[in-house]
Amino acid sequence: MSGETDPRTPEEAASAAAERARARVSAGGYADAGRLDALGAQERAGLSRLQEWAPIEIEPEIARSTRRLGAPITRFKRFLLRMLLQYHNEEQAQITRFNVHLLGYVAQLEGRVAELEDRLARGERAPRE
Amino acid sequence: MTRVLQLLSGAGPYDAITNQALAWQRMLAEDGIGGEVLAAHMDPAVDGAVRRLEGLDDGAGGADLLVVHYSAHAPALDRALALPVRKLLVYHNITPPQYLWEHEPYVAMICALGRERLAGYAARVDAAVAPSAFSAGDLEAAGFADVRVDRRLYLFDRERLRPGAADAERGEGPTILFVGRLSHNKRQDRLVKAFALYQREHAPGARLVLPGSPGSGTYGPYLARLAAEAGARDVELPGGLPQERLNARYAGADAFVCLSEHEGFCIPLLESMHFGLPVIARRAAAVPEVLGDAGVLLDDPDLPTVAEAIDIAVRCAPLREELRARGERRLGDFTPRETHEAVRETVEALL
Repeated sequence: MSGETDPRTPEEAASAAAERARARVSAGGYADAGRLDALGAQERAGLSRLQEWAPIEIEPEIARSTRRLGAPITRFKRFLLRMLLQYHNEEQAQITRFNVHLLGYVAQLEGRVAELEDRLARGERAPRE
Repeated sequence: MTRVLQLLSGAGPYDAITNQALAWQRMLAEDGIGGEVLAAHMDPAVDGAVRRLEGLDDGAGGADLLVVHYSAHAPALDRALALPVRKLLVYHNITPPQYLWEHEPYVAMICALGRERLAGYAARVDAAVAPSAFSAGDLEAAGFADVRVDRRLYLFDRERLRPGAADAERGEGPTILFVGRLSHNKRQDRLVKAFALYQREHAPGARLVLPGSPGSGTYGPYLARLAAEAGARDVELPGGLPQERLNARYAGADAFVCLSEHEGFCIPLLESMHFGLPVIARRAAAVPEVLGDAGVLLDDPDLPTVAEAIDIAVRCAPLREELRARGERRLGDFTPRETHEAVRETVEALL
């Protein structure tokens, strides 16, 4: 900080930070700031990922014992699953129905937003619905 | 004996609101007011200190007053608000869901419902209080009348910050700290980016420490990836820390930087003042109300400005001394005695 007066109060420090940042950027410093600003702008799981997740299908093989010599427990768990198959099918169907309907709604909205953004970029008015 | 029941949407061993409710219970007991803390959802580790809200009968457990600590939606709170007993709503604020959809969609949904239901509670409580004017603004927008703002509502116990402080963990270069749940509204991502610039241009040996519960979302792993992509070295995400280890982190830090965009209060600002740390913060939400004149407030800062502010706060001894003195003065407004008085006034007005 040679040639600069050190701020003594928080108010002076806030102004000094902004001034020094401007000066350093003008002198070619912080060259990476723009790249960093843009990093990670979009992280949300996209529609294609949601489409993969939407139908709920759980393989019965996921039910297993993690204990040593747990094979009989694994067999028992899978037996119980077979006995409850009707219930679990209904449960999976209900969750899947909700997921895919929601997904369809989101996809529709996404298309609509894209269309409106496109119209906006071309300077057109959006149609009223 | 007068009985005050405090209701929470959720309770956990390291949850700030749970700990505040238990502190209120102790303070009220000193004034001869009995009561319990009940929660709709509960971490088993809370172990006996908090009871399940489902057990509350139609007579509200013989309570003279229900204190509803509101921070998220819980259907059980809805039912409790219909009970025929006087009710006080303490609004701790709810994170706007737009910050959460990307990394914590389930929490976003709970927050969206929590904010939406707020309007329906205005006519169902006898009084409402918030620890910041910023939070009171939410209540007023939801239709609450005569919302009281009392910044003394949270117990700030400096004794809790002493154990472990002697074991300060210091690095070779400056240590920059922010403490808070890993959540997009707290903008740890902006801090990681600003730190990357600071490290590159001012202090290659610097490290950034971000203690905070990662929750159930993907924001924590996202921050780790972001640090790598930004080229920032020595970024630590140690998760939620027990108090002693957190105290050691505070004691070993050189500056506290808070770039949060949404905070209902932010107790870590006060904790930083206790440790004599210079605080740099974005002027947003309730942060200026808590910080007062005891920190460097930046208006919507770009990354280079944050990097410069960190450099100034780390290197300017007269500024650090001034901030330390102002911080001590500021902490005089948040003593346990002040909180006890605020809790007593708030509760007794409704009994």
